[in-house]
Amino acid sequence: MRGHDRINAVLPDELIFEIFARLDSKASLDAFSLVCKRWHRIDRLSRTTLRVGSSDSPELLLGELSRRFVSVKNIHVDELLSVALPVRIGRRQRRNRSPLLFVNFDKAYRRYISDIMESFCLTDAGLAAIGESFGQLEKLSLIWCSSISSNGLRSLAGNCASLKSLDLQGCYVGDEGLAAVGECCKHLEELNLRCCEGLSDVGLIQLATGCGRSLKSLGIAACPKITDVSLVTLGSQCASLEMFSMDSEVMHDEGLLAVVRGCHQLKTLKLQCTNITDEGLKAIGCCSSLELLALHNFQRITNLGLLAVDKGCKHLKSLSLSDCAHVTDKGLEAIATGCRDLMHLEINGCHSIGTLGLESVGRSCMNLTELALLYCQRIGNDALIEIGRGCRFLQALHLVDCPHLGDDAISSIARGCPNLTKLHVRRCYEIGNKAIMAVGEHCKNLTDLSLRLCDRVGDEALIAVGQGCPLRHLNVSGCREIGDAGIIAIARGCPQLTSLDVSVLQNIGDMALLELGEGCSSMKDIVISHCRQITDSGLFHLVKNCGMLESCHMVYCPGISSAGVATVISSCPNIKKVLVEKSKVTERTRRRAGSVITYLCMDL
Amino acid sequence: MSSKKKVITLRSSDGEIFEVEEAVALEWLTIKPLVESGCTDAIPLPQVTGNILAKVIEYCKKHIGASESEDRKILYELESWDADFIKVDQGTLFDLIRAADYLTIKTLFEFTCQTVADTIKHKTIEEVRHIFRESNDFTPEEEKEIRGKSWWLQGL
Repeated sequence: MRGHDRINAVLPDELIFEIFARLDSKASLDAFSLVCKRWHRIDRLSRTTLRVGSSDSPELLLGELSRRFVSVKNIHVDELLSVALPVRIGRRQRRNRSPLLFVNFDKAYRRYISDIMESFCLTDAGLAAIGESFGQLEKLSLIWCSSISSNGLRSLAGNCASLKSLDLQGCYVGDEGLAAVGECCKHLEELNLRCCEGLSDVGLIQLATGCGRSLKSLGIAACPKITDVSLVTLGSQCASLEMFSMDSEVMHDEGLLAVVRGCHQLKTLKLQCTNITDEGLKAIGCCSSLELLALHNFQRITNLGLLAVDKGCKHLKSLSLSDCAHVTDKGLEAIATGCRDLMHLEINGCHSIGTLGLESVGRSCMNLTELALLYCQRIGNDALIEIGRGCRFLQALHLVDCPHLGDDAISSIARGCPNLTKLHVRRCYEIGNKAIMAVGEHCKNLTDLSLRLCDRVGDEALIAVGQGCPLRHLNVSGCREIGDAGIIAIARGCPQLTSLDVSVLQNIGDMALLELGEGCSSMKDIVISHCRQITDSGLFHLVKNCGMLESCHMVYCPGISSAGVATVISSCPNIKKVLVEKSKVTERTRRRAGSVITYLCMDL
Repeated sequence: MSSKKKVITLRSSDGEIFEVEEAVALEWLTIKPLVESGCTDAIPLPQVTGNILAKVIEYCKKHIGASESEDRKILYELESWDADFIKVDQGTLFDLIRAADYLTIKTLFEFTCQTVADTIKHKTIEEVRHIFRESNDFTPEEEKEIRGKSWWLQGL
């Protein structure tokens, strides 16, 4: 009987709800909820998270939302984003923002949200309304809400006693507001105070006294009026603190000492404090449960400080050292021998660390899974040869500007680390075909390969990779030796490829695109900008089979005309982003898909 | 080949009899206690028809052991097998969701629900209605009101 197998006839509410829960974007949920009355009701009852950009009357909007969605526990208000009033398709304004600002949002939502209208601000009244409407709120993010003050925060805190997570990044709230949070929200576990310039020690001390006991995660960055005094209180009040991140120019050893001595549960410590010396760092040695340590821009610390860390932090799993100029091989060696559980290591711009230090990591840290070496001028082949010998569980290797790492280094990694899934290399001019051929031969699990600006890598290398590695992501941007033969080998050997960047390759042409179209039907993202030999015909062959394509960047391709652009738009139903010169978009294409096209001039 | 493996007998709602290896049946949390208790009679599954039960067994046989495999080749092969497996009409797909829910088979439930969610991702309201052959039961006034109030809804 017709109609018998329809979704509404067959599936009960709980199962429809399960399907709802697997939609990843607000836009899809919104469409879902307007299909029929039943779905509207299910959506109303089940939605737990609201994300609000700036709009012209946030109070009205939130009031409306609170009447419609009754189970909300998480609210994100982000005034760096602006949600639009209804706009006619094709007439949207688009403003590009730094992708960093979007870090908390899933992709689909980012796309949805990037249509920008004029922005307005959440006020204290709006914040109070959130408190009144959503009494069960557990998680609230107020990102750069510049108009709210202590008054709003106080009324919110008064109504939301079950708040567990509060992000006040960039909000100019004062001490009284924070004190009220401490007084009312006794279950607060997470607090982010990044760029809260209005806060001083008074507020943070009151917060810590009020709800410090439940606090598990605290981030303080760029709050110039928060000093060591606050940290002393944190040390005495926040015994369950597990994550502490601090970026400050006014903190000294005293504050850090207090925190590490008082908070015995600390697992994660991220510090960027120019005034901290070896004395402060030595104290970290008493955090026996520490698992992650990140030190950025410590110009005053030397090996002495690290020696204490290796003695005390036996469970350290992740270490990141950035711009620590006076830490040398000896310091790294001490860590390597002391912290044998180390799984992640990043060394960024530490010019005193060289080959010897890394060799000791290779000898001691058998469990290393991820290694990143950035701007390491003094690390040579022998370092990675030792890593290849010792760290057979390595899964990811990331190299940027390491001028002395060459073929022998990478070959050793390829032979010794069968689990390697990700290899990223940028501007390492000594790495060439021999290295990448070894990767193709040995790394049967490699899915993500990026070789940017590697002048000595050519077709031979990609042919080996195509034969050996089940790649899903490939970036060979700026590897000028690579031509059609290499890309064709990838097209034939890697049917699962979903993203490809071949920008600035002057030797690749339409044949490569034709083969990619035939071989890689799962392709979602492709970048062919600055490829002078690619023409409309290549593009036509590519999109003929790649119906899943979501994004295509094709600026500075003189062979591509408005006809090629129109082909991409009309052949790919899932297309979300096209980057192209304005002159190549006809009126018809613009009408059809104006909202997915980004023009070059806007990116500059 | 190894005839030693223990076999569990199942009876579908329409009386069809199926035999599955114990290892497969143990993945179905709803009947797991029965299987563990050493039940030798045919286990009745009154909410699942024979043709759906056959599909469910087919899926679970294929997936047992393979899902946890580290070998990417096997996983890729499994992915494409899944893609073929799920090329069924909507009615069958919904029945599979209900069967997976009833029998508490986590992997199959996740897979089938995600498949439905994926088919309507990024679609407009009209397209979703068309896909499910559901008609709009809002009166024009109701729809206008909801849409009017929901002015944060966009791209309709």
